[in-house]
Amino acid sequence: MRPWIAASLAAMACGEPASPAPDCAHTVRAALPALWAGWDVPQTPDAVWDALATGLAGDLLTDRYVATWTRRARMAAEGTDVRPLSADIEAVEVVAGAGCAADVRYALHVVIAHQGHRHPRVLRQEARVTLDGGRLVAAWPRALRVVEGRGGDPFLDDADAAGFLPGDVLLEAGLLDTGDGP
Amino acid sequence: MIALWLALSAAPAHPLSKDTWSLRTAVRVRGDAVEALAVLEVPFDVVGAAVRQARAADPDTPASVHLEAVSAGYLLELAAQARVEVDGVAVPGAWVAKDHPMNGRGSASEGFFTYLVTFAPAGAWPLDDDVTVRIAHTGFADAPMVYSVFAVGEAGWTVRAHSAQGILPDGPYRIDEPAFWSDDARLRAFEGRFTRGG
Repeated sequence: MRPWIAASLAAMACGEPASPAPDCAHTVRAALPALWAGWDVPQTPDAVWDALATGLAGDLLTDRYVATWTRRARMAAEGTDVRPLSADIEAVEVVAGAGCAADVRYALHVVIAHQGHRHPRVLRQEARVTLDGGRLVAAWPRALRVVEGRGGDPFLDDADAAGFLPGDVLLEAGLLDTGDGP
Repeated sequence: MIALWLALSAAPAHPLSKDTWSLRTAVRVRGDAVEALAVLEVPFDVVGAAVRQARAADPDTPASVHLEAVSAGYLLELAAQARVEVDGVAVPGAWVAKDHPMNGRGSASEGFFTYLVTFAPAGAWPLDDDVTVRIAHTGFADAPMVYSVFAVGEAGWTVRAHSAQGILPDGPYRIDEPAFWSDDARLRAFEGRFTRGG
């Protein structure tokens, strides 16, 4: 399991979201990685469910479990795999009103493996999420796009660097053939 | 995650080969300054091979340390092998690594490392109303390279002519369009005339 997911799971296990008056934005940040955590654990029912359950609850947990399990099983049959590398939670804007809801934006770095090849991709997703009891109970995607490698500004003053990863992350992912294998 | 997978399947193709290096020069004249940026892109396979070679010579050092050294070497050569002239006179100063979140990182979606250097003049750099800027790169001469050049005048400056005309399209610069990249080695040097005023 990736360290950043393990840290998120540990934070959830320690009961941080259950504090008497949890800050909504903080709770969203802690719960959000559960949306993709089911892709970074062994493909067993308990492992996938437990990873998702660290931050999801209710129908969202059920829906994500079925979707994650089904997709992973189909991809495994096709010899394909998607693995999260890291994620940058770029924005959490709490929505005013009762309860805890927020508009979130995050960039998810993944590696796709198929037919002996490994391809990195960076996805930026925007969604509105709703929490109950420290867990996400609804997630409505607003926008999803693949981040391109270059910014459009020739001087890069306004360039989007979300698609650029540090070398140690690329090494750990096995995306650089340094003779050590993936 | 279903949406995630659909998006992955629709990933756009890069206009350049993942096996090819690239070197891009951007020049901007505005106010009383000439700004220059050079961007080198090195394929993952090339960087990985350099790290392998370093590890063969020094297997006890972690790959991440070798990678940092390899990246530093690219930046050093990029900076050392570039020259800026205004009206035929070498401008005192140095190319330095640009403080930018892309610098030294790998483009996860495109498969190359990016290195950025910008020119820092040693002091005041007075410009008259009609200047010719020349930037030449002599590094990485043996690398399979594609080139691109972008020149712009701002805040009262106009680009009258530059050496990439006739090689690259005349229309608005679009960095991800293959037409704005060429393996024509003449693009290793840029020469442009800028005038102040209309």
